[in-house]
Amino acid sequence: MLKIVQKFLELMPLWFGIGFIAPLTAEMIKAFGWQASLPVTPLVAGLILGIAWGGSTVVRGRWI
Amino acid sequence: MSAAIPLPDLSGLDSKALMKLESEIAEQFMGGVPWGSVTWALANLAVWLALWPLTFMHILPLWAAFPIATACVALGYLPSHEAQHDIIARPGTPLRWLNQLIGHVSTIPLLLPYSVAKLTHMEHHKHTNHPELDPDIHTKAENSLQFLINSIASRQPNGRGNRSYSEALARLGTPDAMRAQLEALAMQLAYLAILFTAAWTGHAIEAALLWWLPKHLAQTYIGYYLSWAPHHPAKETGRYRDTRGFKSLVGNIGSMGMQFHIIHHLHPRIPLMRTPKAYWAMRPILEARKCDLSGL
Repeated sequence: MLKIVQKFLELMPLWFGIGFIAPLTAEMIKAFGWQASLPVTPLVAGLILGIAWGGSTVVRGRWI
Repeated sequence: MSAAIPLPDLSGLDSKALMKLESEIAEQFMGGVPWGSVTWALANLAVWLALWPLTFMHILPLWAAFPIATACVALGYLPSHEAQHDIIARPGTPLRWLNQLIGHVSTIPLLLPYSVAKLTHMEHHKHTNHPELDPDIHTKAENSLQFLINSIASRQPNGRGNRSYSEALARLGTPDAMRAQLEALAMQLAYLAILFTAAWTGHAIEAALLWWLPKHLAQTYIGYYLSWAPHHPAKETGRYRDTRGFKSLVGNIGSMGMQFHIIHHLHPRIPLMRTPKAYWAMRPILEARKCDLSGL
């Protein structure tokens, strides 16, 4: 049980990417009117960014 | 600024006599409930909470709410700091509940449990500027720009700032310290649950500008004025060497009273709002002790 919790916490940047960065990015794309220039929906674009950024943060240990 | 209260010639006094005089002056500024801090804590939290419905219902524009939220999150720490030192009410006194209430609620926006804040802050007082034992030593930096760079780096998942408080609690190893770690984890998970829920229900920008970004800006501001500036260059330890007086570019209110933080480290039970007067009363003694007063 403890190992599952630890793993969950280690992956926190990924959860943050999916849970917050993705919908935030989608809302910003819509707010700035950029959706027309994207080949995917704002939410898909947000998920791509959130998963990629959050996932790389899990590996690198830093957001920037 | 108030002038220093006239003191006897200090040149002939030994260390013990100076200490006695210093304590007598400090006593004059202690005691009573700092109602200003109590009001500040409750009003500040109420304003921050009110921003959520006001922006969700489009009564207040986000561009106006964002700076207010940032100020609220930053202003939440100091009332809790008064509670950490039992300044609002000592244990066993009738208003003790108020001390604990302020301690617990005022740092909610900052996401800092009272238990963690109190235990780690006591360690900071005990080991100020110690390279391993001071939980706030990660704010040490050569200059303001380096502080900013360190501050961002310390908040990364593998950053020192993220580890320093949990390491301090682990070192303490007491049941209270263990419980504080669990409270920090619970608070962090609750925060993320709120952020994620707000974001996935169409309020991501509101959540970002009312909590996420204000929290980061407030952490930077608090780290700078409550830790870096009063302890800079943070190379020495010792009662009269680990904290300094300094002149802030943004004045005393803009630096949240931290120009006089040296008084707090010498006499932690003096309420924040009385530290300027206590400083001016005690200044000749601080000079005699060769404290770094940086022109203040």
